[in-house]
Amino acid sequence: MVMSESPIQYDVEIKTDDLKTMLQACYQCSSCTSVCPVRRYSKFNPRKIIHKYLYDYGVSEDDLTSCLTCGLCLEVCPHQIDFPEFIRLKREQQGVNEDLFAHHNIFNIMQVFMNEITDSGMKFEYEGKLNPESSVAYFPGCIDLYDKFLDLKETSFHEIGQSAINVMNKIGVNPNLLSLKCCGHDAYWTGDMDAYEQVREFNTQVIKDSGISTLVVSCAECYYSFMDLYNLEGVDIQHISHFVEENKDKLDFNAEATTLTYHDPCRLGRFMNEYESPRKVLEATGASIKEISLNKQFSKCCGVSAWLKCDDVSRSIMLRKLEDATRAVGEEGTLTVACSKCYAHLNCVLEDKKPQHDFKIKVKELGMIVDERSSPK
Amino acid sequence: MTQVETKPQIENFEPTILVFACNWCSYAGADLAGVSRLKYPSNVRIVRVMCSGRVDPAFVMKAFLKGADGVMVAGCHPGDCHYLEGNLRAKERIDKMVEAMQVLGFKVERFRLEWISASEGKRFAQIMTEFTEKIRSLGPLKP
Repeated sequence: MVMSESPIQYDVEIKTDDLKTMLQACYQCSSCTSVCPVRRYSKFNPRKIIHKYLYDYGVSEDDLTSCLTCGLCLEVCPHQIDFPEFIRLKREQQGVNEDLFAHHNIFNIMQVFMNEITDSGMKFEYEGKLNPESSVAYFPGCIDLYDKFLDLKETSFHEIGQSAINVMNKIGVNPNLLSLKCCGHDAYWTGDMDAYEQVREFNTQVIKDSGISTLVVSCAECYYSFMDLYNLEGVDIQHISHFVEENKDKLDFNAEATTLTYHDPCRLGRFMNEYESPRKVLEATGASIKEISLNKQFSKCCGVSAWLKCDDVSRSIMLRKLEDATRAVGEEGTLTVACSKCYAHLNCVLEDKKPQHDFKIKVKELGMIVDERSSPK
Repeated sequence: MTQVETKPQIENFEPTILVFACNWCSYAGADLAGVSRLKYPSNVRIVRVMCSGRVDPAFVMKAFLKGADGVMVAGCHPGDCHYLEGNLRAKERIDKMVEAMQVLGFKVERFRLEWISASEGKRFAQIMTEFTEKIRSLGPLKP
């Protein structure tokens, strides 16, 4: 049998580029779309974005900025197509409109401000025993700036850093409080590579000059950036959960038993494959963990990433997260997070009490829980 | 806001100063200064806003990034605000911004918050002269 040729002559010439090569393996199974947290509340569709891009329809600005780059699609993709990386590279090529950032883009302006005008690291003021010549350093991240610019009355971000330092003091370590710039995570993920490279160079230099061997951070994003993006040979980067887990024999946990639930931040969980360490730390403090129905590598994102586009969709995702947590741990329970950003976003929606929701659940950071429930030996 | 293209020479340095003036008091004060033919430096650029409460910290930071050497926010005296408490909110927000600038290691003398009422044309001219001289002595922000 001879197949007849198609009567229509298609005159389509598809050009290839690196990004297309990245997406070539996609066979449109739509697994990514079915798990995407943004897809639950909007028409955002990763499968369709890949399809459109492969056939030269481009990527709309709305699609480009709606993605949370949480990596859940990568987790379920049968061909491991790195959709978050594709979005990042596309943002780098196309640029992101700065009006789409939340809080008048203040945090990105801050980052450029640090690079262009002040050109020094952030100066922190924390109480506790600090030793500038210690081999163990601590970097709280940009949390002190959140206190100033986010209008949250009941949430203190300074407390995250303070409790981490308290915990380290209780263990018997007097950390060196490093004066770094912002880690550059947000600039990297929104495609602002100039700003990112500048902070990376500065931070690498400061860390090398300080001669430390261990750097402890509180924020999952800092941990991911220092570990994965920076090239810090000879410096052991530890999230606060690793540090406490290693030294938990030196702490005395005598608080009464309680029940908590834990939210896996995408940067610590899916990106760095760290699921067990925070759970072990929480269990060591005498708390029993009730898991959220979707946890570990299938944990849904907290709703906003890199301060990009905090809209009704983000709000719905956050409310859903709190709902899930309430279902797991009960009305008056506590949700533990291991990332300052998740802490900020979830507390923001908690404080914004509208008639539609009245959550009584508390959101706390891991270091704060350890500080509350421990005493020195 | 467009980037200032010509870099000022340090010898004859003319500072660029941006003032966010509220429509009801400070802008009227500037008007009065003009009508009364009072002299004040031409380095001052005024942006009229409806209330000093409209000024977000991001505007101030961005003004510095885009080439301003000094920034001032001017509003009504406390209690005189046309919108009852806009200026108090501005103060609350801007105090926090100043603290954040200190965290970043920035010289906060380059920024000022002033209360100027509509009848204080003379005071407007005086403050502007004084602030311009102060910035001139500090030198350019970006060398």
